[in-house]
Amino acid sequence: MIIAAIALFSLAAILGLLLFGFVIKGKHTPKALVLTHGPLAIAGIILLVIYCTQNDPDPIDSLILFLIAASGGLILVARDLMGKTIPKWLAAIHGLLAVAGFSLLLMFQFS
Amino acid sequence: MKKNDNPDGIKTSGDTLSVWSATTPSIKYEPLTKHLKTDVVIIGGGIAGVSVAYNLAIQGKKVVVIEDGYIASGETGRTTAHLVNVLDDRYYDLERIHGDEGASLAAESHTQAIDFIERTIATENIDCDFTRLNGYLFLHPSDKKESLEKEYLAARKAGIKVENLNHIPGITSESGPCLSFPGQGQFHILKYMKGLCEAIIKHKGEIYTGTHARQIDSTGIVTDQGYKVTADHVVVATNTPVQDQFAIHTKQTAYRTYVIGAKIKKGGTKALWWDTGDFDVDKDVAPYHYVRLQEMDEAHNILIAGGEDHVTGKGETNEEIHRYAALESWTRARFPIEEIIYRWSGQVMEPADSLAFIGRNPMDKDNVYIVTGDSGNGMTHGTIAGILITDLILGVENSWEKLYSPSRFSFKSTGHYIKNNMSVIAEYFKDYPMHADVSDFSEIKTTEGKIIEIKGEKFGAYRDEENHLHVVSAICPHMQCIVKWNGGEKSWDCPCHGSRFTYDGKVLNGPANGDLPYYLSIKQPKIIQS
Repeated sequence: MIIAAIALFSLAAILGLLLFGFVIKGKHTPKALVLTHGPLAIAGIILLVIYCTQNDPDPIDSLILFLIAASGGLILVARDLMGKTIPKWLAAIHGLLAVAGFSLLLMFQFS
Repeated sequence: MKKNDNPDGIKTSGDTLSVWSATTPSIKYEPLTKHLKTDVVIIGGGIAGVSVAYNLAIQGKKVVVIEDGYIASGETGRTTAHLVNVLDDRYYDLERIHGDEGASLAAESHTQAIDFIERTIATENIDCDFTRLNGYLFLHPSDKKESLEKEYLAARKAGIKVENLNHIPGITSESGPCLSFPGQGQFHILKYMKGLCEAIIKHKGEIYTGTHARQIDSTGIVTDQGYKVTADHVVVATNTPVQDQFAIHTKQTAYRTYVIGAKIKKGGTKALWWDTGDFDVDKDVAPYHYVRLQEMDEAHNILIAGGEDHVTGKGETNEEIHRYAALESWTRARFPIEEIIYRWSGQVMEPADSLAFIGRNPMDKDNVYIVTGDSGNGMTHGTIAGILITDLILGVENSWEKLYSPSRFSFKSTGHYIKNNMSVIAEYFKDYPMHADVSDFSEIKTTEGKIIEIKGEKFGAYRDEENHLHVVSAICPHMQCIVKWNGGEKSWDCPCHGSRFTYDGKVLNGPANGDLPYYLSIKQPKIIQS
């Protein structure tokens, strides 16, 4: 299950990087990427939640970071769909939190 | 085809002109050039907004109507002006979704709307060709005889006068059965609107055209020029609300509907006709045909036939050509029409549960009201809005309030609701990098509009008859969907929620309340023929 979560987060990360490029350049974000990135990450989080409830020890610190990143992501997508400016700093923090959560998850699984 | 060559040369919500707009002077007033304070400000000079203003004005309320075009330059001017209490959705469906009481209230409200129009015409002495006549509902080949039997029972139960006929009066090429509904009506919409506006002015109301409300909230509106109208009540009657982001727009879908006006010799049956809709196209919203006559000259009437609807922005390239051809073919098979003089299209907002949204705006202050979801019965729904919103503002109890409440959600229409919103999500999935209609401007022929991607950004490019390229952003400012070219009306239409823009980006239809950025107009040296 945790491997599946890592795979989903990896795919989400690739799309996230692409999206970050659009945000940094102040360009329209392709919505197919936005609406694929979010659900992939949410699916990963769901798997992680299930894993945490069924296993001990668990990567709870990673999950917390992903949940905070996800709440930032919700704000980003809402602003994006409403045509409001996407704060670059928020997009950066969202990405950094996700990267941190992903790093902790990899360390949990592979170290 | 009549283009924008009406007496004033003013654009309506598209490139074509309806029989009304092409033959009647525009109803214009001065633009707003001062700050105002009033009891009620109404945004939108269509039948809904003007009916609300009229009803409030005769009750002594101080009203101000703001319209960005001229009176009825939006979808009201593109109606076929049928006045029916038999809605475009069947009474057996209304009964299933809204219950017996809901269906009865729908019947009562639309019947009263026609009565109100007739009464107002008499009171205000409006000469607008109003006529009472029979309506005939007949089967589309894709439908079954049982649906007429069910409709007969449901309509009677709702309180509608109806008769079974075994033939279709006025159509000899088809055998029955048919349902006959007496006491329906028709009129000339622009003459009626002119009369209502004159009555509003007579009752000390104020009307401003050519005035766009840039900002709308519970305190009033601010125009593009910065003039503020402060009001105790705000009524947004702009076909679809332009101040809402989500609330209503997830509950209704925009459709294009096509109309032809053809010469026909006088002497036949005068009536309204409509079929039950093509269930092979869409089982939920079966597109149907609708027909009426309008006086033309001593020898001829104009037969006005409409239909061949599809979701806005969802057609193929040159979709309108196929739709007009199909409509002409359907009409010629049933009526002895001669030359086609008019072709135009209009926009219908179709609520998931079949009835308009009229009342207090959801998730807003109690003094903000909306009218939307005409559902193909814009004349009566707009008139109902005039009665209902006036009662809400005056604090008078009205038994229709719950039925038309914009806050309602009918679980029995959940399937339709989900389907519509999944369709919006599917549109978003078409927006991915390196995906466009063309990769170079040279691929766009004259009179064509295409989506092009330049450095990761999507643009809409239209090449006009004189080889000028007009380039706008392809991103709808409402919810960021990619717009699509509508060759029939020379507009960029949004397939998500029905916003529409001129070829040079000016907003024609909500929910967007701003223009598409216009980037350039280039005269190309080489003429490319389509």
